[in-house]
Amino acid sequence: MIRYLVYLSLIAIIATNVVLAIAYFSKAEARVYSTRFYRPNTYIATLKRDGNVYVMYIKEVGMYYIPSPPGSYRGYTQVLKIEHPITTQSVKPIKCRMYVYTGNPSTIRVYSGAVDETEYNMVYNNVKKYSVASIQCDKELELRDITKYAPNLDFAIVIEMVFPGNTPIKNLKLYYNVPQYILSQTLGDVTRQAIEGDISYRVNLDHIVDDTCLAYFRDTSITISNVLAPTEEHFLRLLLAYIIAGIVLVIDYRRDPDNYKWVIRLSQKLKRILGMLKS
Amino acid sequence: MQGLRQRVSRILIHLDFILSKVIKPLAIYLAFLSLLYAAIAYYLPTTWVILPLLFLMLLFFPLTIAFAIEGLIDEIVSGRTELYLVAGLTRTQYVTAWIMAIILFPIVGFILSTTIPILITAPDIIIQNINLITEPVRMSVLGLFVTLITQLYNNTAIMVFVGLASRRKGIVFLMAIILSFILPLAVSIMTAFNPYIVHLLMFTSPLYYATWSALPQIPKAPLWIAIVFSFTIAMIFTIQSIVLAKKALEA
Repeated sequence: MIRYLVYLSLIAIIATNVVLAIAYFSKAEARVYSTRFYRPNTYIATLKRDGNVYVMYIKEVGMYYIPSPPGSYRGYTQVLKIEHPITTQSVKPIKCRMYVYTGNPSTIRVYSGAVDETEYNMVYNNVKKYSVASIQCDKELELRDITKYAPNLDFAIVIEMVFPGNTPIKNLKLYYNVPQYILSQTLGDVTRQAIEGDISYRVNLDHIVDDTCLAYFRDTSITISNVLAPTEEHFLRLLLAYIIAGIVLVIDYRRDPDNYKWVIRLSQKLKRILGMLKS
Repeated sequence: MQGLRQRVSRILIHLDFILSKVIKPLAIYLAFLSLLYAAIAYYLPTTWVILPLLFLMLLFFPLTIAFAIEGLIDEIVSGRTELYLVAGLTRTQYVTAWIMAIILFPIVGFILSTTIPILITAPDIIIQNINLITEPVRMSVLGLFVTLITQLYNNTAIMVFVGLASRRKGIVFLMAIILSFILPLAVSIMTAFNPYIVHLLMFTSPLYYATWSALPQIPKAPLWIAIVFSFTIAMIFTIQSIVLAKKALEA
């Protein structure tokens, strides 16, 4: 039984190796996944670095807007949680902004706020208020940043973080969280609308300029994870898994070598094939 | 002590022999599963995205087990069991080896094939808090995994019992299809008319129950009740299967 379990483990390790190899050679860029519960969507994102400024912009492909009843989203706190577990706690972004960009300079919305020292979260109590205020003060700067990092963009959520010094950031994750009861409310509405038939329509990107756009993001749970090429840690864990499986196999081989005759037969066959190829 | 070791050794030798015959479909299935899990863990580290893919793979697990159960029924019906019993294997050892090969080994293999890719690519997804009791809607990956394993055990135990009771291979495959496709679908359709019907899933499909209970319109019971229910049912069916198999060998 142990032998077969080790075989299955080896298969699992090799499968993981294949996935990591594909990710390594394809030079995986940052990916963004919508964890929206009711309607899957496609996002494309990249993480770019310019000195100590990280800009993550997200281009949404084929966005759908689901109309929501007014009043559903009032009275709760939105949290943009920033985590980078590999770096130390002392490294915190000194500035964090979130933009919604629709390709038209007049439609940029900026959410920005102070970094909460204890919770390490950016907390927005009222999105609309902050967005209006930020657009008024930083419009030109943000325009320049967006066009620099994301030219020819139709639609984007841009999250900019400024870290002190030349901070190495790995495995950066941003969570744009929505309280569960809001999700449940939304889901209820969507289910009802789905039964009635008229559930969604494709958004004309030029028209996402009003509060409906904010509502769209506010009832959406988005997880952004910069899945870059595999790190040394991935390969170290892989190597460790191979070593453990190998040790167990050797122990089992010593206990009962008869079970591993197929290995000898296989090696003999390989030798024969190699010999034939050489001759 | 010596006697016990000898008995265990006999069971393990026979288990090895059984696995050498029935492992192929399971190994192929688990290879695909590992590949899928490695990709999921690397690219999509979120519970909500894992869920539909996990369901997709889950549908095929009972079918791979059905191949193994087919082997047991085949031996009992054809009378080949006598050969092993004459060779010194007791009925208990024979049945234990088969139960281990059909129920224990696939589940252990399933756990290995799913946890190893996650542990290598993204170990942090496993280390999440379990909120089985308070928040069945927002479960952790680990919580989902416990539910999933319980469901697999439940379905396998029911299939073994039905297979041994009917001694017909076709019935086992039919049962696999019922448990993985027809029953959840039928209950889901009925739930649309009466939300309380969803509780039927607690007995055989706790994972489906967990999904349904995520909807706000559905009345919820804590998920651990579903896990305990389905695990108890699985235990009853396992014991009954052992009794049935021993009776079949005595006849």
